[in-house]
Amino acid sequence: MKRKRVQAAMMVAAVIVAAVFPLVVSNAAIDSVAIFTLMYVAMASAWNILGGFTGYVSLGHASFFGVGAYAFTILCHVWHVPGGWITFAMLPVAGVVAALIAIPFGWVALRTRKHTFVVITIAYLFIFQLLAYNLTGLTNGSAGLGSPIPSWTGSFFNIPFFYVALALALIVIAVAAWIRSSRLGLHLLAIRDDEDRALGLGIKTGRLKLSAFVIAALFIAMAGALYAYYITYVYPPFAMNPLDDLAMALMSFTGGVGTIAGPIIGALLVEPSQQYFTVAFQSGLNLVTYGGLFLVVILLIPRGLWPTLRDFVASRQSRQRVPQAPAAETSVLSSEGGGQ
Amino acid sequence: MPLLHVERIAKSFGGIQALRGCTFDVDQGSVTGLIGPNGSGKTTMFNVITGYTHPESGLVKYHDATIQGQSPRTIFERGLGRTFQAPRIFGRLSLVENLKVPTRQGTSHEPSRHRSTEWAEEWLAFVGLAQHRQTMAGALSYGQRKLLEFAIVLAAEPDLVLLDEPAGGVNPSMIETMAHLITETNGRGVTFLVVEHNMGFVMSLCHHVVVMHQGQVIADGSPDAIQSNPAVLDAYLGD
Repeated sequence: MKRKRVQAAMMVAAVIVAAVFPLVVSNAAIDSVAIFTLMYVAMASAWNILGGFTGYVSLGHASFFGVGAYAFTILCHVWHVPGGWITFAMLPVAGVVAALIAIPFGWVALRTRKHTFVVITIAYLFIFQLLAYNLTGLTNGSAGLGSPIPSWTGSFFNIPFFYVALALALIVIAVAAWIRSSRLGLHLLAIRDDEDRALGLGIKTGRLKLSAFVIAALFIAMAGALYAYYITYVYPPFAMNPLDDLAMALMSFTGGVGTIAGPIIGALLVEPSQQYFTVAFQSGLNLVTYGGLFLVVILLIPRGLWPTLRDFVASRQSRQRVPQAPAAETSVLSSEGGGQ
Repeated sequence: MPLLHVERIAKSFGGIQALRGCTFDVDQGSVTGLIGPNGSGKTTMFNVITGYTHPESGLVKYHDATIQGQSPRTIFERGLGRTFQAPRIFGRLSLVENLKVPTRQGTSHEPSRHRSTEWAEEWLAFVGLAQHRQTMAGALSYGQRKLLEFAIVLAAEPDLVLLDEPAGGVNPSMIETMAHLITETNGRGVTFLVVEHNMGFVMSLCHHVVVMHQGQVIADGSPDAIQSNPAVLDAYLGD
């Protein structure tokens, strides 16, 4: 209970800091990094609903980022939605379009498991990228499409995007936390541990996995739509970027895959570092840091920062309580000698 | 009418005929033993009954409804649960969460109490794991995992439970505990079909014993009759 109160207090403090951030920091470049970081908080948290809760590591959900970006831009053109505040209402519309497209793709991919699933999702990314290049009537091909131009400019330009990105991140985190605490989340975690056993205990594994796949696609697509509006342009290699897939997975694994806090911590650490390395050093060094960080995480903290830190604190606390602990258990189990 | 009726079940894996026309019944309210030397087809039979393996021919009837070929989920929803030789629990979930996993959703057999923490804790107390309620299941010992798996299956209130070597790999004290739990649960109306190599355990616990050898049922009767059956002795002792 105490731990939950501490976590809630930390979350409230983080939200307050985030809410005042653009008011305190008026540097446009830093605000831009903050917007991208919040987008990645949302994307990594959404990715974690599938990859972390069910154990199905998707390296293709960036395709739904692109679908969201294109759906937003194309629908704004078709429905003559001008740049302005109302344009943000198109984000959930783009998300729903991507979620509907994700259903058949998820249904097919989720008939496989483990490495095969990973490979199929990678293939999806390149299929969607090829479609974006070649469906020129819809996407304008390699020339890309212009998105609506926001009606505000100057030093205020970043502010609305910052708060919408923050709102999106908070919504995704809230949804992920709700799923984790619900029966749906429990069943997704059971699938992660032993899918066949979960099936044999009455769980509709196929339906639940597909739900996680589609929910992740929906929120990642909304981030894609926000991206398209922010940079006012959508272009195949940026919209369907394999590095976005690596980023979502890396952020989740760095912070703690399968936890709520993990993807948030991962995104807050990785994205600003990425932006810094991209600007400060020669081109390509940011990719080296991706690979290097992945190696460090997998080799040294395979469970991620948050669970490792949490267990470290818990073990310290339990060591301090040892003198007060009872000498021995008296249950039927205390005589059980079978080891693991 | 038996609760479970298995008739002429056949199953092969490549060139190996694992089951060759097996037929036997499990009566409602009984503890029935399914014994036989290693490789006789007991676990394959369990997999066929619970939907993890589909037979090439034959019939499995449960509550007089044909169930062979159905998925493990559907069969579980009908009230037929099982444990595995090596316990299969959810290692990264707490014990309470493990108890909340089984579901018979979509049937009239899942009262809302199945989803409550109190219900989970009652079952943990029943198998003696209450003090570990918030422990991650992966931290349990082998014997404790067997108890947890037993509780997970029973928490969904099945009518028939298939236990695959409940006394295998655990110490004598735990075997006694397991026998006591099976007897008590059977007294509450749950029927058991038990695969086990520990003959003392089987003969003291079971009302009826089915013996398999080389994919066939070679004997079927009371524990006393089985112990003096020449075909059974021959199967176990060999030439």
